[in-house]
Parts: sequence; C-alpha cells; structure tokens
Amino acid sequence: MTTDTIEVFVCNNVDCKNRGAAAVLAGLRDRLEELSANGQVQIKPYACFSACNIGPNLVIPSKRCWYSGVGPNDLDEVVAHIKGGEEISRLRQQNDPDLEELIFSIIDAGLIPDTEQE
Amino acid sequence: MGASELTQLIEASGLAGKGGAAFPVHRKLKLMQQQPPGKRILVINGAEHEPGSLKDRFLLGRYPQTVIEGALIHSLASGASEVRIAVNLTNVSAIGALNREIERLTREGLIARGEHAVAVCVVPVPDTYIVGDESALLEFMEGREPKPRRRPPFPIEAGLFGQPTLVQNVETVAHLPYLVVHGSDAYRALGPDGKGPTLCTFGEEFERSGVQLVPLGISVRSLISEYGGGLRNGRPLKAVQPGGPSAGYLTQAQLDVPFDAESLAKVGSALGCAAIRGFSLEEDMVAAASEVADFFARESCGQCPQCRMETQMLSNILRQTIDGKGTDKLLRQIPLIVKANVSKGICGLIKMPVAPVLTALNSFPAEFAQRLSAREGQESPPSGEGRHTAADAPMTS
Repeated sequence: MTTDTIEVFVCNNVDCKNRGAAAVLAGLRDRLEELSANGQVQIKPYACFSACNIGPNLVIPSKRCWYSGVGPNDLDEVVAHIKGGEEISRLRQQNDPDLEELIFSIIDAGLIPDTEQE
Repeated sequence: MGASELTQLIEASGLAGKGGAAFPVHRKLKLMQQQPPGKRILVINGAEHEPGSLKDRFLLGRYPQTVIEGALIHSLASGASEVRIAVNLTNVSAIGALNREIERLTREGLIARGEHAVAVCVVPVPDTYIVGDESALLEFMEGREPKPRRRPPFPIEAGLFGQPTLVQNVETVAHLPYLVVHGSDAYRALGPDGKGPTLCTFGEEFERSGVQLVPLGISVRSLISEYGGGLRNGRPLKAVQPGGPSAGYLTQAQLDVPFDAESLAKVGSALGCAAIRGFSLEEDMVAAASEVADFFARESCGQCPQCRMETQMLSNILRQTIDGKGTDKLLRQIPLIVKANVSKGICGLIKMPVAPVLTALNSFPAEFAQRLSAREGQESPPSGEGRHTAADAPMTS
C-alpha cells in the first residue's frame, strides 16, 4: 500500500451482512479489481461503524466520506466517486454527524479493521 | 410471618441483590406487591456465567435445601405461586440435588398443598453470559433465543408469559432463612458496618482460593490478607479486581476502600458477583484488560449496534496495542467510544468492559506506553497527559 492508496472500508458485521454487505463488498472488489491489483485502491471489511440500522455502511477515509444504505445498484456511482467523480449525496442523508465524527476519529487513530470478520 | 412482616424484616436487614446490581430486595418485593391481583412468578437465577465466579455453584451444590427454603420465603413475601430455579445445564449435580429436595418437600406435603401452595421446578439454561440478564433468561424460558427484551415493561410488570415476574439471584434468597430465624440485627451484625455478609470467590492465585462467606464493609486489604491469605506466589500485590470481570481494577493505594457495593462504586469499581482477582507486581495489566474486553465482545448478543460496536472496538484496540501496533492516539479513542455509547443498548452488557478498561488505562499508563509502537511511545507517552475518562471526551452522545 502506498501513501496514495485509497482505502475503502465496508462494514461486514451481522446487521450490514443481513442487509447485503457481502454483495456490496464482492461487487466493489469485482469492479475495482484492476485498481486493487496495482495498489491504487484497497478494499477491506470492517468490524462495525455502529450504524447498523442504516447499513450496509461503507467509508472512504481519504475522501472523508461515509455512505450508508449502500446497495448493489449504487456501486457504479460509488466506484465513480472513488475514481474522482462526484460524491453521492443521497447515500449520506441518513448519517448522524456525531457518529460520523467518531468514525473518522477512530479510523484516523489507526484502528486496524478486523479482517477476520470477512 | 406474612408478606408484610417479611418485607419489613428484609428492609431492616438492608439485604441487596447478590447477582451484581445490588438492588435492594425489599424494593423489588414492594414493586411486586403493587402488581394487580393474579398469578405471580418468582425466578431464581442460579445460572452463573461470570468468569471466576463459583459462589452460585457452591450454594446450589452444597446447600440446595437452604436455596429452596429461601425461595419459598421469598415466594411468600412476593405472593408468587410458581418458582423456577435456573441452573447452568452443565451443573448436573446441582440439578439433581435440587430435584431430589423438591421431590422430598412435595412428598412430605410442605410445598404443594394448602393456602400457600407453590409449584417449584428447576430449569437448566445454556452456558452463555447473556442469560444473566433477567429478560434474556425469561426469553429462554419461553422457548426463544436468550436475548434481552426492551424495557418497559419490566419483568415485574409483565415477565414470564406476561405474568408479573420477580427475578432474584440464588445467593440473595439463600440469605433469607438465616434472616428469618435470627432477625435483621443479627444479620447486619455479621458485617462491621451493619451491611451483613456476602459470598465471594477468591481466584486460584490466592493462598485460600475458592468460595468464602465474608463480612461486607471490611477493607479490601483485610479481605485479601485475612480471608484470601494473600497471593500464593508470595509476590507483592499490584492490583485487585474485586467484583468479577466488569469491575474496575483497584491499585495497591486504593485497597483501604471498604468491600461493599456503595464504597467500591465510588472508586470506579464494583462489588458485582464478588469474584476476586489479584494481580502481582509482574503481571500484565494490558493483557488483563484485553482479556476482559475480548470476553464481553464475544458475549455481546449482537442485538444492539452500539453494544456490538463498543465491545468490538475496545477489544480490537487493546489487541492491537498488545500486538505492538497501538498508538497513543488510538488509546485516546477509548473514552470517546465509551462516551458516544453511554446509556445505549437494551441491557447492561454495553457497560461491562468500560470500568476495567478505563481503570487499567488510568492506573497503569506506563504498561500501556511500553506496548505502544516505538515511534509513538517516544513521541507521546500517555502517562503524561492526564486521565482517560469518558466524561472528558468531546463527543456528545
């Protein structure tokens, strides 16, 4: 991973999984296979963002972006955003600002996602 | 002796629940007595799941008669016509002993006949921590997965199959026969401050490990030396966790605190289930706190997002620290995570890892600093920047 690598965390805990997080994770990996292979993007499952009631949740720390309620139909737009396109405002409408602050604070502090959950 | 007289006696004794919450017994009784007329149920929780606690097994195995006698006294005071005694399904000997005692009492016509006839039965329950929550226990007894219920309604209003249900720890009721025979003054006199006695479990590290009846109100220092006999390895004591895995750690300097629920709460610890652990000077407090955090992350039923998030984050942060991948900044997230989740969650499990993790951070900062990655440890040792408290955190919940 280089300093320019864009990390994407997808919550893969029970609730988000029940809401289709596994398909989101697989769909992203599929669409970003090439960028992942050359180290430009790194997609990782994450333990929990404490926003299970609005999952599946996906966070792109370098873009200060938390998307909630992400479904397979949103993935083309998410990929476009990762590649430099527009942010998707409808996927941020349910976000709680305090929780958002905590999520980025924890990620910035260097918590390593629990990849065992994958 | 009738319900009113019994309730007065229990109130005068100051008896509080022995399951961990230390709720006054007479208050539960009065709440039960206020329920509308109809069937009332008493559930005795003898299922024990806290690591290190053996007191309930001890009671059930050695004194089944006292347990049932106490349950019957409690049923009379609460007006319950049905008593269900929950026991770990692996505790086969206790289940057998209780059933034999119930059969004997039934045969002799002591519990199933007359004005105060009571049906008593034993319910084996799974070995999962969450069954310790009274509403999760009731869910299991109704044939469902043991997951805590949202409250209100409280079990005392609508508990087992919708009936008013009072759930009481097994040790709590086992104190009642003595109280009835000897009175509240004699009971209170069993402790120096008039708080009576309690069962506790000394860990294997103590010279006199195992279950003992000890006076409430003596100092933790006296408890450790006079009853526990000090540490088996002869090493100086560094810390004590006096109330099971959810209790905060006491340092050597705090050991003069009285061993009772109120005094321990004031110093950030707890009486809890009175499972006592002692840590000698060379023991690793980061590893101890990490073990506790892992336990609660594993035992969270997963029903509440905040509980899942908090317990898993605390566990992950401490494991990362132990693996040498922690940072001071990461440790400083702990009070933020705790504060963001205050008063959340359906049951009390979300709070369980908080005291041990925060007291470990605050009382043993040098041990955490040693575990931090070399760069971070040099730049910013956590010991120099004040205490980690949820109250200081800038986040609002």
